[in-house]
Amino acid sequence: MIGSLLIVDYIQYMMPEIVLFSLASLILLLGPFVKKTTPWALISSLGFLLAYFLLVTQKRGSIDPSLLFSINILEDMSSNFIRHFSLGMGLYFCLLFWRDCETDNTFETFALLMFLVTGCSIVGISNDLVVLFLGLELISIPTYVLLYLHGKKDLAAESAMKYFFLSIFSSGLILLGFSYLYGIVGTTNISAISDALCNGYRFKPSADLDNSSGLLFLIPMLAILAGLGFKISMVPFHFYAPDVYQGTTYRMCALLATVSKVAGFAAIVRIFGFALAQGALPSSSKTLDNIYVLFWILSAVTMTIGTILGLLQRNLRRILAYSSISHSGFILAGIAVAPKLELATGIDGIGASFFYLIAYFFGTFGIFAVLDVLDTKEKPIEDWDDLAGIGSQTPLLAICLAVFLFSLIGIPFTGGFLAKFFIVFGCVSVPYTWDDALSKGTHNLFFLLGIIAFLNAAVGSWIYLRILSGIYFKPAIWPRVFNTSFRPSYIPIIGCVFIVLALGIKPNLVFNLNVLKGMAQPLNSVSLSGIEIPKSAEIDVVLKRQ
Amino acid sequence: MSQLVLLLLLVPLAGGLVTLFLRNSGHEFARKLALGFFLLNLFISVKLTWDYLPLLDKHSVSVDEKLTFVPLDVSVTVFDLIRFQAPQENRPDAGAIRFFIGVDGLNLFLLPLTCILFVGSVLATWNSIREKSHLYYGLMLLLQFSTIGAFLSFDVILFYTFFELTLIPLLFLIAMWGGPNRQYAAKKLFVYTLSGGLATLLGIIGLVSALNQNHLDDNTDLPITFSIPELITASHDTQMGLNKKVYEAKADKDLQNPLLKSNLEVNKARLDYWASSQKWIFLLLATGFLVKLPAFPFHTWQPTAYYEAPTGVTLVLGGILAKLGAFGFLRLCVPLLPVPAWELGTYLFSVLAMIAILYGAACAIAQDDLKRMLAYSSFSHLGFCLLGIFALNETGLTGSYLQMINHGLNVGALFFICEILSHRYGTTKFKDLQGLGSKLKILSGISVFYVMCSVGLPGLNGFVGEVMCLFGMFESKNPNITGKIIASICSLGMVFGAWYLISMVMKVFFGKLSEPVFRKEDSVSDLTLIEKFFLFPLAILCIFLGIYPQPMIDTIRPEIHLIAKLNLQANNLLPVGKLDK
Repeated sequence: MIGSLLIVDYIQYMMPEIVLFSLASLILLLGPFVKKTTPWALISSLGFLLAYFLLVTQKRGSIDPSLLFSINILEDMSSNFIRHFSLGMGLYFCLLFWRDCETDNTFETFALLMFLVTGCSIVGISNDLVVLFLGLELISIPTYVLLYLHGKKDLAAESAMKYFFLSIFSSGLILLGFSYLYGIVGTTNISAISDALCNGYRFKPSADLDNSSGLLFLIPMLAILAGLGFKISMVPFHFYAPDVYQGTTYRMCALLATVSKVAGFAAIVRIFGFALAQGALPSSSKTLDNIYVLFWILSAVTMTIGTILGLLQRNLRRILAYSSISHSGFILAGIAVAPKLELATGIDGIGASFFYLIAYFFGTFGIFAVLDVLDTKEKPIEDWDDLAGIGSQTPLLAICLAVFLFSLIGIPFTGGFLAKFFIVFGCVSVPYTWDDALSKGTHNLFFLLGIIAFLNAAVGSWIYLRILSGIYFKPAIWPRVFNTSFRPSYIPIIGCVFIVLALGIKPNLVFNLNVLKGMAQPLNSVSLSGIEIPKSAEIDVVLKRQ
Repeated sequence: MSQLVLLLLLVPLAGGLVTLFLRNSGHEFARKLALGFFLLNLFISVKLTWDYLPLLDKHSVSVDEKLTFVPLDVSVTVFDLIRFQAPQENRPDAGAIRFFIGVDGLNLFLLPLTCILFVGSVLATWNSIREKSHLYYGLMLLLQFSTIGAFLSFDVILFYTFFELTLIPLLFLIAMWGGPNRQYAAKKLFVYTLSGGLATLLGIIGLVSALNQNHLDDNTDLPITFSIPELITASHDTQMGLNKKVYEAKADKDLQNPLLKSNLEVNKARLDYWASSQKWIFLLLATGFLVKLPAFPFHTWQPTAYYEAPTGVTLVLGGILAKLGAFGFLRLCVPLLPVPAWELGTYLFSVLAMIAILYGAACAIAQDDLKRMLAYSSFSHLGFCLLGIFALNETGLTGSYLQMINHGLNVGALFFICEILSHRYGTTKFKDLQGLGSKLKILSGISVFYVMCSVGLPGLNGFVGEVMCLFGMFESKNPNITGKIIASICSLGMVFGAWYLISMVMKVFFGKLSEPVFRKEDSVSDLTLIEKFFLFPLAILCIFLGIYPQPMIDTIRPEIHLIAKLNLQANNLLPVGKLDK
């Protein structure tokens, strides 16, 4: 049958996600009936390893790109990247949450963790609004439960409720946008929607809308952006982050600060991809031509507010929450500049953003993981001066923490430096032609964004420096009896240190930079060029589906 | 021999990593091991300099041919770090950040200076660092690693990387072993220098991407490059090409041809745009170096950091790390962007240098503490470096380079003496230390010698650099009178220098003995063998450089000549660039 995939193909392609999902369901089902001491952590780690193995051995190119308009999953550079990233992330979190084996609700934690990672992976491969929404919800709903399970007694309810309501609200916004889009275009296929936004309405010949009504598209797009803004804690949708982080454990903070951000950015790139790829917008389309201005503003505001409010905090969780907000701003800067870059510069915005996301993930994850090890019942760590004396009491953990902090500051030889470098290099190298005032204006605008980014990086260094001075330069207040026995979370910490350093020195050791470069041309410019315009018969098929 | 250059970089790195993890082997072993590494590196650097001295003669030809910095063939180590684009034929540097280190005239003498001063720093704190000494010496070795890396790199990003990396060991060294207010000083230094460094990075990125766009021909883009020699060539070509186009069109007087006329407009607009973006890039680039130097108005971190840091670190800060700022001007700012260097040099940077010289001297006069006074004196003397650079002629640039080396030696020795006093008496306040000459005879003698070096007594090393900086400023080729006025005012700086340094000698070493009781158990002794081991050979070097600096001047001539030539060309271009608008 033309324009569809067999169910076998679907199953084959989505095997890793299916394995994870069914394993998680199984754990949830069996959990209450088996012994408390069952090694759930081990089982779920093995599950992640199996899923990863399936992903690696899967043969590439199993999905024909010419079916793009009729299938709801797809395989391209960014989907591969997100899948690998989220499954790897899952393994890391599994090791980090190993500590939960001491508590009563072990099996729930790990099952929910697996749902969450499945959701993140599904967001990466989705080519359909419904699938995308499914993926996003698969992240949100386990997060509510996990937040409550990991709450600190007095703050748990507040933090979980706050996250719950705001997340529901954001899901509502996203749904509103999705249904609006469906109403305009008549399909939920993202490729088709992007195509429609760029080239007119091939799929709904009856609709006599033309490109001049681009304003209509602005409403759903803004609603979707606002909804995804919650996921990536973008200003002005960032208010929940500090409060929610404060009310939960460090390992849960690590989850909140990374998974939803990865999914959110993947979704943004997926949905806005057509407007963000290099030279993607044909001049005929006026629909979202100037969306980069919006991203510019959001990026500048997000990083500035994150940095400034971060300076005012004392509580470590709040500091790191604001730091995660400000890093979102940096990532948005790469997205903002993406449509304005040319291939010749050798750097591209989306790629830079994803590089930043990776560097940010390993830095932030590492910090939270180390803090999670240090944070014990006898001596909870709340403020930055609670870290006093760590440097001499647990020197190796302190060095790891210092490496992560330096990475977030952006010191050379760490991933954070190259990430900032790529972003700002992208911002500065917006090409211009001498006689075109508009292009010169754009060039200067993005140069300004580069300046703002570096100002924030410079001011933001003070935040991390304060934590660092707590670790090394303050005498220990009381002797700390530290349990030096091996913990599973040491493995991801060591992994993070190596990856952060490798990213800063020779990123090709970790992954091929060209993978990131390819992600910037998601839909129409390259992959669509081989697709013929659907003939009337196919249009009928599509219309029937509506 | 390229292995020797790489070794120079790797020895401190390996040593630092080894020393950092010597937790349990005790203070004695850590410091001896570190000293061993430092001496090994000193040996390597001296051998390197000795080997390359005759080689550099042949080298000057290649610099002249290519009109850019050319590291000696035999000294280069190159490999890719991050590649953006596939390499092009004949241009392996295109589209990649590369690990590209080498030796040329400009950094050749800074390497042994670095190694000498680090040995001095270790000897200075031989007895005073007792806590966590493995960390202290490990971080010192890492500091040496990053400093040498910055001097050696020929890739802008690599240079920046090492330049910024110096901050981390410094942060820990100052904040963990410094004086009472150490944490504040360390954090201030860190944030100041990081901010300046980020501005420099923005300038670097701006320059790279500006040169990536071909201003001469819209159809083809130039390859993206981070290699300093290639960037200098590209910048020079762009400037010359645009000027030539405008000039050719101008020469065709009647401009009857409408095509030619529109082309003239186009090229004039391009030239203007290139000139204005160059100016911004220059200012951004210079910011980081001004902070590092430090120069007015970015100097406020300096007195606190110098005063609070352990004296061994202060020695390195004043002797070497400040030179990184001046070196940045010589390596990047001035040769890469000669046009704004002319335009801004006389009016902005020379004035900043003047303020630094006089203001620093005035502050030094007012201090009541030896270490603080030396900090301000260093601030003042480094003003001469900046002044010499922005004379933009061979005399001034040579003077500036000599001043970098000589000031490094002098200030190193003076801080060493400061540490001797503070170790023996626990204080460096003038009111506590008086008339020590009657008790510590050798120390007083050698101190007077170094003070004379620093004051600029003819025949000693301090004189050569400062005078050549001033001569450069006075030189008749300077287009206007401003340079001469500035130079005249700056000469006062030498007088002030003599004033505060000699009055310091009068207070501390002459007159009636008055010393505080610091350690009752052991009486205050004169110079120990270790201290003599550093101070006396250095004194011989100072005398030698004062009497016969010619070998050094000859060695650095190709690079200095190149910078001066690029700037002279830019100056000649200026009238064309400022065609009637």
